[in-house]
Amino acid sequence: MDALLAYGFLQRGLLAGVLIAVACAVLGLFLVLRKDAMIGHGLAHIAFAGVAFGLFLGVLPLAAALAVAVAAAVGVMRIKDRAGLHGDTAIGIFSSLGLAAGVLLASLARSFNVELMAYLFGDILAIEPVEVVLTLVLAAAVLAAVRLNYAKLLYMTFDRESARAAGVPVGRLDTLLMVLTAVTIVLGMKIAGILLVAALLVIPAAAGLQVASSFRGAVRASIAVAVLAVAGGLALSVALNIPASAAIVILCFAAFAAFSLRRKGRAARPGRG
Amino acid sequence: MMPQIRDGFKPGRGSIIGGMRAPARFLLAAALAAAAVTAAAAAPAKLRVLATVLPLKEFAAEVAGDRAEVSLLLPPGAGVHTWQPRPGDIARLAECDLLLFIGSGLEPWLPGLLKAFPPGRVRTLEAAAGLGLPGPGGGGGEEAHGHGALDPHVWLDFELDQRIVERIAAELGRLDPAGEALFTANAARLAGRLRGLDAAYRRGLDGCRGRTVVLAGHGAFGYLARRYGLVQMSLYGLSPDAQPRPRDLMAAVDFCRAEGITTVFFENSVAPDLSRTLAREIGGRVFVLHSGHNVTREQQAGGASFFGLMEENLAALRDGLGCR
Repeated sequence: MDALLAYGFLQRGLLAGVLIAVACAVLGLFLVLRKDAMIGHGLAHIAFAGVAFGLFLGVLPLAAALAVAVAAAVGVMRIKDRAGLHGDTAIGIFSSLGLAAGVLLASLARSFNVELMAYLFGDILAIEPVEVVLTLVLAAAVLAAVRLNYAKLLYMTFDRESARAAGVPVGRLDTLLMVLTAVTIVLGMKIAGILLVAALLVIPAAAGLQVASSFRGAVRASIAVAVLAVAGGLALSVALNIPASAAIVILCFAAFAAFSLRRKGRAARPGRG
Repeated sequence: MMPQIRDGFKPGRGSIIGGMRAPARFLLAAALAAAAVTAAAAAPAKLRVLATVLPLKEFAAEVAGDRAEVSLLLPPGAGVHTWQPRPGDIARLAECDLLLFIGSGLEPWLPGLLKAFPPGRVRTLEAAAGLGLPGPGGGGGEEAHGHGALDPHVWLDFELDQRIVERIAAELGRLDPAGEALFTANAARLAGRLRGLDAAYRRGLDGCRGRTVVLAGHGAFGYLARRYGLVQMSLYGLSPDAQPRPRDLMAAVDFCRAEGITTVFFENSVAPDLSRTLAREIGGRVFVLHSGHNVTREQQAGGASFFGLMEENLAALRDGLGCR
């Protein structure tokens, strides 16, 4: 606690981390229920190519990553819509392509090994003030978008065909969800790194679904898990001097494991539930 | 003579060789080997020398004059710790007369690469060996992998550089005895320039307000600091790949606040984020230091040289440490 007050970089890391966690938990819930859990993983790999592309051209790597990830997210949706390919096949294709392009670009340019590494593993200790503002705007946008479209999103998540028949703009909402996910991943990259950002999108949502009896409950539970994991992970990282991103993901998993054990315990003793 | 021998290794000829019967193949191999021996004995017009880092390349080029073609094995901007050779690089290595490398774990990819060649095929000179450095011998083998206990950044010590130059001249003299006198004379002149650089550092870093070089990166400047009575404090140890941990950063912040340090140096080959974080925390400024092992494409186009980079370092150090 003293450390938090004394060091600005810890405050920025915590703030940005918590905001990203909120955005991830809410978006992740929809993705997991839609069986699109792997999209985060795929978009993170594609964003890697975007970062490499940005470094290659000498433009802002995060902006390039954002452009590429949003384009890919829309592309994945399109491929999925055209049928023939399931969602995870399209993700598999795009994520491999992204990784290959990133490696190729890194090999062509040969001058940004170190910077590329920084994006692979992220660095919650080196968050700039402007990045805190960006994550704040993002988290607000995610919450607002979900709140404004709550009923429609819920409808199409659980029964896509009926929702479409009932006049819900399924395509537009899909795009909205994908674009928000892409932005969340690109901003989250800085905090947890490309390799781990997808975890924040999947594990808290999965943990929330283990305990909640309603959708709203699941939203609250997954936000709680994500926020506590980020705060706890940062605290653990300070206390034990270990990398923060790994600590955060492991805490997420611990919450998921605890929740699913509790659920099993309840299921085994229905009389007492 | 040499070009024909090398033609034999081109992929286009592989099918012809593969199509021969075993005795014929053996004869061809024997002929090639014999030709290679005579070619070496006749001393080719120009030696082909490769170096892993910029200073070794410049030293060798300066010493050899026009009797050798000296080039860098690594492309511009590549990190010497993390680089991985491509097939074309291995071919260049196979054809060179001498490979200059630092050793002591600076090039962790090199021992494995050299093992792929028949013993003695690639002639090497390990610069960090034989300098009498403290730590576990100058083997440079796998035990020193990824910077063991030994600091490999020897080229940032201009007195050690003079001894490296001497050894390069001696080695070139063994490969090309006809050029020995030239090499010795060139080496003496180069040593003079290095002494001049050393004197400039001594003068320039005398009477500075601060004596602590806070490095938001890995500790590449240990030799330099020791030589001129400075203290190097780096955020993470000798390995450039390590992830910074929160306590290390907190300790650095505490140290700077306690000592009233408002200058953070960062090495140009690491991401600048951490140095900006540290500088923001202590309300300080960031200065760039070049480790000098390689230059980026842009620096190369701008005509950057080892001596030029070292002069820029001196200016940054003087500015950052508040020297008169």
